[in-house]
Amino acid sequence: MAEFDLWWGIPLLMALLVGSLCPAAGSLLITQRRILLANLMAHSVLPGLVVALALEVDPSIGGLISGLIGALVAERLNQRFRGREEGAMNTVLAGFTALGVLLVPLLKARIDLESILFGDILAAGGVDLVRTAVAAFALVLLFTTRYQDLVFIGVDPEGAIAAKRPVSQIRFIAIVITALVVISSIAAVGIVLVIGLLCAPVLVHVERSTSLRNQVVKSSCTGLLLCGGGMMLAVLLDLPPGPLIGVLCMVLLFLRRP
Amino acid sequence: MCKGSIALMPQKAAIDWSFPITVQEMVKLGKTSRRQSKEGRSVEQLLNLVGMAGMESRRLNQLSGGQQQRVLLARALIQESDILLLDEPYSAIDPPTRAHLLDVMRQQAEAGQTLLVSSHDWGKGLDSYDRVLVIDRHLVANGTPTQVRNTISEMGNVMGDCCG
Repeated sequence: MAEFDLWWGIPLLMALLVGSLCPAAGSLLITQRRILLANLMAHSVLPGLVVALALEVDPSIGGLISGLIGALVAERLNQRFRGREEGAMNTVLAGFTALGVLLVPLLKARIDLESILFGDILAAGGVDLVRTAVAAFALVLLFTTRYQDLVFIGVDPEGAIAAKRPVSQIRFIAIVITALVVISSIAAVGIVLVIGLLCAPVLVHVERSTSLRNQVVKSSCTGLLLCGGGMMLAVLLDLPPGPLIGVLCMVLLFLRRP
Repeated sequence: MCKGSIALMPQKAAIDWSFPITVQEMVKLGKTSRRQSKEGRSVEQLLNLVGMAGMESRRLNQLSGGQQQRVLLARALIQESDILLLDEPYSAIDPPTRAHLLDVMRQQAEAGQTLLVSSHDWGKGLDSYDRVLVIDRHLVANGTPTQVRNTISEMGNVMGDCCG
């Protein structure tokens, strides 16, 4: 009986942690209009995961490095294609995803692409939980130590530069923490659901929140309910939790009153 | 006041007005530049000065264009800089708001602050300034408002239209 409880405990904790963590990161990204970068990073982790598995090292390290490289490549191309950044970023997103798929047969890596896309929250273990807790701690640290700067950069990026705020450094730290959040969450809920959780709970509240802090708290609570409820529903209906929560994210947007 | 400090009132287009932030928090952002003294005016005093008293808890996207301009001015004023740079402060605002902004700017100048205003639309406010520079790719006129008007009319240039 004790083993049964433990087996349920970690996936449930993981679902709740990811459910609150992703919308918190998403609040930052959406208000700074950088959500496409997060989407790109979520896909860019794939080549790193494949290489890490082939080399038998921790996949999260490979994914983190690969995600950061994807973000840096996109930033470089954004400068070259100024005004058409979305096109450049989508091309990098497609390129890194395709590279990851190509590397699977090339490196003869044993990898389940479906579990990377949709995750397997019921198989989440203690290591996944610790990794996600570290990402959560880093995000909380960023919010508590740099809150004013995050608001300034979000509402008036040029003004923040003129006021000599460390805009580039904070943006870089935010990218690294986003990569941590994405990597730690992918193990549990997969690439597709990470993107859903970064966006949907935030969009529900963004028009009515009175501050970034308020936005983060509301979105995290919604994400937490979404993941916790979605997981319970999945168990009841005997459906895979990841895809079900992904669908619930979309339904949530339709249910939101205008 | 620290010597040589500059505060900027940016163009409205530079701001993300949909960002979740209240008027009060927006003005407080000016304080994140570490220039101002502790004895400076409070957010409430500045909002009162720019005619936005009682609107502290409103979200930015709930304000009219003129009110948004007033918030930007309050945020620039809280920095207590030596120089205040205003970039197109009269764009998309109604005549009463324009008169009010001009009034506040005049008070600041009388208090010893230097104001640099960049505008395409001077209207009747031109005479409020000590010195005017008209630039059309290069410097066209430079002097007091009267001197500039004379220079422009002598040139018979279409630029005269901008100087009311």
